[in-house]
Amino acid sequence: MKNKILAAITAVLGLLAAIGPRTLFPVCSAAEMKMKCYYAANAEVAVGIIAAIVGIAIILIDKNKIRITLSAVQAILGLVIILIPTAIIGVCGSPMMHCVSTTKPALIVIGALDITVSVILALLIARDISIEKKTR
Amino acid sequence: MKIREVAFKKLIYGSIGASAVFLFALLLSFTVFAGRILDTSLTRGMENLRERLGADIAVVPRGSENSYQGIILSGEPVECSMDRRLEDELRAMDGVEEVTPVIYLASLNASCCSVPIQIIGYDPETDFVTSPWISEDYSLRLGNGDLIAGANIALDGNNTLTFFGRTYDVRARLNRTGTGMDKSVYVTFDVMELMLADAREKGIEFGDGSDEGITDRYVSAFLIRVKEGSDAEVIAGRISRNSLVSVVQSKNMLSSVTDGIGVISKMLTVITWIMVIIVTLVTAILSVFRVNTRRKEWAVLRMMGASEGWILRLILLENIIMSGAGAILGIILASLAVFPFSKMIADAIAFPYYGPGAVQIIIVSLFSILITVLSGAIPGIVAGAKAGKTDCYVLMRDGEN
Repeated sequence: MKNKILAAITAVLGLLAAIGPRTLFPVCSAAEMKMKCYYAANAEVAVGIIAAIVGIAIILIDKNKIRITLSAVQAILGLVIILIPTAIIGVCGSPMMHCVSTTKPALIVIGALDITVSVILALLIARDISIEKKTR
Repeated sequence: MKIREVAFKKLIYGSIGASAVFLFALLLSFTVFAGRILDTSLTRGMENLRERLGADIAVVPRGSENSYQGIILSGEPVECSMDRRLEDELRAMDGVEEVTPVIYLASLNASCCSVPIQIIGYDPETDFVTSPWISEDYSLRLGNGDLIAGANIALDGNNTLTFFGRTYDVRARLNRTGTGMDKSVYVTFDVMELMLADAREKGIEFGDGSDEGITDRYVSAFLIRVKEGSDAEVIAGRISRNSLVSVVQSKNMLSSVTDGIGVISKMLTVITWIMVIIVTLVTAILSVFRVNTRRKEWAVLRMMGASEGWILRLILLENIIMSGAGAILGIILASLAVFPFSKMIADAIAFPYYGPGAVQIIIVSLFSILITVLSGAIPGIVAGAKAGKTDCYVLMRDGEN
């Protein structure tokens, strides 16, 4: 049960990373010209949706070996969520822009939480695997 | 088995309601850490503002007082102009030590300008406000055609900035101050003359709109330093008799900022102490409840030879472990909320905001852990004493019923 709750949290975080940059903590308006943050938001949609699907898969799949692999993948996706606005694509240059003050830190926090929860999840599943081995 | 091993195993494998104490400790530590970091950042921002304000009095065009405060506190782009002939009159006043003119020009949010920001022009001949801390940061003076950029200004690729269609080299970047100065660009009057000419072509009017030597005839404000022993209030009163100008006293501006920050600081302190009281009470109730539900356990431990003190230490250690773990996680979560979002917080508060250094962060972290652990340890001692004093025989009889 504990593992499923954690997996659900990672799915929600993935969803937040996907839709957040367009809704809750939006990037700069692309009305005049498309800036870096616009493309970063697009990339986050793709990565966030994959993270959400991986989170749901961890809930649905029973085999612990697959679940632990998916948790590791989820942690990597968390890292990618952080790297998109900070290194891979980046956001606008001026620290005064909304994407710098709001979107980027929000994605860093979501990514960091995703990594933390995924690592805890992987450790819990690893503990379950070792208990399974002992009881056999 | 050592006492700490017993405590850890009980917490990890036993269902003793430890998670509630952990969660309350997390909440308390989050509040204490975030509150102290916000308070420290505001205080440091105000200190930076006080250090760099420089002038005692600012004389601005009538009705531009709020705009001037906006430039200083949050760097809001403003432009205004007034006749420079007033300068001689101000210099001649009793009690006035120094007078320097400044020009405020707002760049445009259009392709001709890199960023829409405040450009501040100063006169190197008379300046006593801007140059001291520029040279303090960089030990240099501006060359002709160069800019000095505030810490929050994003530069173009090759360290340049474009204003009104002309590109300028950025000679240096100032250290962060947490005030409006971070969002401004500084130029000498020579460069400002060029900018005003270019701005006029883009439809921005300054002064009477004439071409050559506009900075000799029009400026945006005069900054005044009063002589030691002279009363700035009296001088400000004399200047404000002129119906074309308004006067802003640095002392009043600082006191309005201090008052604002004081209210926020007081509020944060009250919230923190309310949280300390609530969490200590809840932890006490939970600890006593847990002690009562584990009475058989104490009986068994006592029969195995555990002393009253041993049981007290066990309960105390359990509470310290739970509240300590909660404190650390609370600090991590608060850090994720406070540090990445510092620019957003600064914009929302609209006061000078300058984050603390590593040493201060460590001190605040240790303070948060101490407060949180104490709020868990004190109820732990109370509950431990209660558990230790219970009689073994009565407990076993209790179990038979």
